[in-house]
Amino acid sequence: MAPLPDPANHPHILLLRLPLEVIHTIFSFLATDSLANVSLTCHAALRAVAKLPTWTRLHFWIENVYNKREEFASAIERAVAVPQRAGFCGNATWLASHLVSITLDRDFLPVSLDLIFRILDSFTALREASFLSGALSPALSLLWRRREMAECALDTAKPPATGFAFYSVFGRSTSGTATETAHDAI
Amino acid sequence: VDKEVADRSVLLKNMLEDVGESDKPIPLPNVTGKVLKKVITYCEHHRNDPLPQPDDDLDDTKRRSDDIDDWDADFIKVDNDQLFELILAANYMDIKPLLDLGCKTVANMIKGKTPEQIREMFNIENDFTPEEEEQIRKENEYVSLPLDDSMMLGGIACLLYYSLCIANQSGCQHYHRWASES
Repeated sequence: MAPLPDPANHPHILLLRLPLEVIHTIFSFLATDSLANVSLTCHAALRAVAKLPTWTRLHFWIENVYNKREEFASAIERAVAVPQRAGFCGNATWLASHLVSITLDRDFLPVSLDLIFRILDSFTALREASFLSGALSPALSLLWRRREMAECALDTAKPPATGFAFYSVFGRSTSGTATETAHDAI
Repeated sequence: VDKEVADRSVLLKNMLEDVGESDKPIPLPNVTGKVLKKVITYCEHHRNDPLPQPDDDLDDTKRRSDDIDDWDADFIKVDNDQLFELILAANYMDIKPLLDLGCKTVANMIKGKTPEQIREMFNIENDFTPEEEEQIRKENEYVSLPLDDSMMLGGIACLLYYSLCIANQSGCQHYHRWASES
């Protein structure tokens, strides 16, 4: 086994060696896009982000550090991927069912509609999955089917029915009919 | 150190209560002298601040990291090594305002940085396999859709409605009420 690096020579390696509760305190000050970037650095960071307890009162929000609309839009794109990645650690449906708000900086609005749809798609599909079985795979499956639908819409120049999809989802209960709901939505 | 200053640390406060009036030194095995000196400087400056309440973090508002005052900002201008030592000391000695200050500083270093920049800053090794990298790349693929102004308005309306639904945790009832009324 390789010896552990000497902290004196590698001071910055200490970030992921901090106690988990301290790492979570640091992460609690980060918006969704920053959490997405942290989770993309390595497995340990990905796990730490996925276990972040403050996600039980999750707010989808973006840092106010960007100077250009394009940077802001790019940050949203990265942030939208967070719930899917968190799903790898088994927390996707839990996360989706605890989401309490989506906040976008009005200085940069309106962002393009496809981004708005993408935000809706991500969280709606995860919610549908939690109605279905509470498992991750349906969520990812739905996301991919949504993407195929969007690509199909590109070919046929017809608008996608995504906006109607979440109405139908929230218009039903969480009973057995939810399966039909998810299929209807697609 | 004055008791008033020592009381900024919940650990020391509890220990002092346990030992009562005594001149015996209290050992802090996990904190070096250099870091302890820095911690005492912080506690002396903030000796008159109100003590944090246990339920301070329970609200649902997002936590800000841009509310660091000038003295604190100057105090925390240290290298990464000392910054992490201060955070660990604050965590061990249970000094929540100092812990928050250190954590906010690290959070501010992360904000707006790409994954590669974060890796470089904190010397994090990328241990994702090529397959996982590919999976992540796929997730971040972006599908552009043909859109017009009416769809833009519809999308914004959807977003607002969706936010209301999830915020109330009973969106379907509200939707049905709204739908039946209209």
